[in-house]
Amino acid sequence: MNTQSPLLFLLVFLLQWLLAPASLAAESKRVYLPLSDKISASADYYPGEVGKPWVMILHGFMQTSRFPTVVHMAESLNDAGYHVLAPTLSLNINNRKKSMACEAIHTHTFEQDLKEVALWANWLYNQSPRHSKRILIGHSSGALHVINYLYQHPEHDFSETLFLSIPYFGPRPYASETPADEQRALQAIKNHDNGLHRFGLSFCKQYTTTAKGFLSYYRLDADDTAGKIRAIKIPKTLIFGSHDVRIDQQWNKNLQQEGVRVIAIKGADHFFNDEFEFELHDVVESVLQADAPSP
Amino acid sequence: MSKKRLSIKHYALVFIFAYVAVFLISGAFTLDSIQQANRQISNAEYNNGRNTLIGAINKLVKNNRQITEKFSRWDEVKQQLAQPEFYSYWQTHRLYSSGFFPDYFIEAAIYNLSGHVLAKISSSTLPQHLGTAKPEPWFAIENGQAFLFTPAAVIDEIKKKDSGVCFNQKQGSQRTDNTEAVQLS
Repeated sequence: MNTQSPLLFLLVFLLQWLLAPASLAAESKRVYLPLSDKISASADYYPGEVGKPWVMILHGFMQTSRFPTVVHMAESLNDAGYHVLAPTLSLNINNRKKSMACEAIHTHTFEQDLKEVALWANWLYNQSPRHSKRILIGHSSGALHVINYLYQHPEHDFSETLFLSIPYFGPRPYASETPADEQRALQAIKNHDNGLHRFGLSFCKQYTTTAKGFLSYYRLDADDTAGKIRAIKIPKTLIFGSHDVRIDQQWNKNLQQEGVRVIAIKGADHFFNDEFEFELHDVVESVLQADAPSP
Repeated sequence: MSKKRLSIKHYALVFIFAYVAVFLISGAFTLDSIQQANRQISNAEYNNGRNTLIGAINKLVKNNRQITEKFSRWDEVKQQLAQPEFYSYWQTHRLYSSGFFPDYFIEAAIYNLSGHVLAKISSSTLPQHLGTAKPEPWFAIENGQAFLFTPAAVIDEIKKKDSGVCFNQKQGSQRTDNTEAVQLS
């Protein structure tokens, strides 16, 4: 027995050592970006293969880079050799790790989100070789971050963009936010009221934020979003689920008129859950490969 | 000279005295043994009770520490430290309805790097200032009730250092006579 224990230990150690490189290859690294002296943002970076494109994936409303749709997409692309960066927007919280609850206090604005997106885009640019292909992907409201970033930064270095469902804010069927909320917010701004108010926003019936914070999202309505999409000059593809009840299906079809290639995944919902996840990954990879310049 | 011989009565008296003496001595020994056994039983019961109470309090402190440390890692706590402008609103309208604490938690507060509470809440009974030394749990007896205070440091995981900010929780329970006597090891 005495001689078996060290041998067993040695065997376990050797197995761990042999398996370590394989397991590390599939793992992401946590990278941090200081935003102020009190707040840093974090991202998951999946190192890819030399010469492969660099992808940045933005998560949906109040989610994180660990949201299943984002994680699985990042892992799938990384398995195919892509370098993937998946930031978690700080929403004014140092090293935020969890999705925000609707009932929490929201001190962030859409403009602050965009500044972070720009910083991460810059990080991606600095990490990647000069002539790398860079792709920007957004899931759900992450697509709105993508659209607004590309619109506000025409000098960007991305050569292609993919939207995995594009919602919009503002009045629409089943929206929590209403014109009455907008009126209250506008009145608060007029009164120089910087305090907290409860509004409806996206899927949140009670979203506690400042009037400025609320309006920064509310203004991203259908017309605003469609106009900005039209102005984006790089190849843009929308992939949506035909059973996505969160988004008006007619809106998806109308986006074709804005120069967007629209691909529907039959039966998928807003999050491309279950078996549709694999179909989504196949579609994304085929789109990226089809658009890749021939060697 | 004739030797006077003791009568049977004298023998009987001597025997009776000797018997009584032996009875009293053995009785005293027995009584002492019984008292000693009683003392041992009392001591054992006291030690047993004391150990049970210490164990229960240690478990209580440990459980509360786990909850408090989880609280210290909560994103919304970090949010309040970075942006304390809305702390009063958050403390009043969000904290206690968040479902973060069990019902027996009475109050919670967040303190900044200097040990000052982020905002003074008029209804709060927690101290407005804490020492900046490493916080340890403590008990206090107020109006016949025992309260457990469980502070925890909020760590900045990126900078890998104590952000210097701690918060405090207060748990109320009925006072028991033993509570005061117990010293937590």
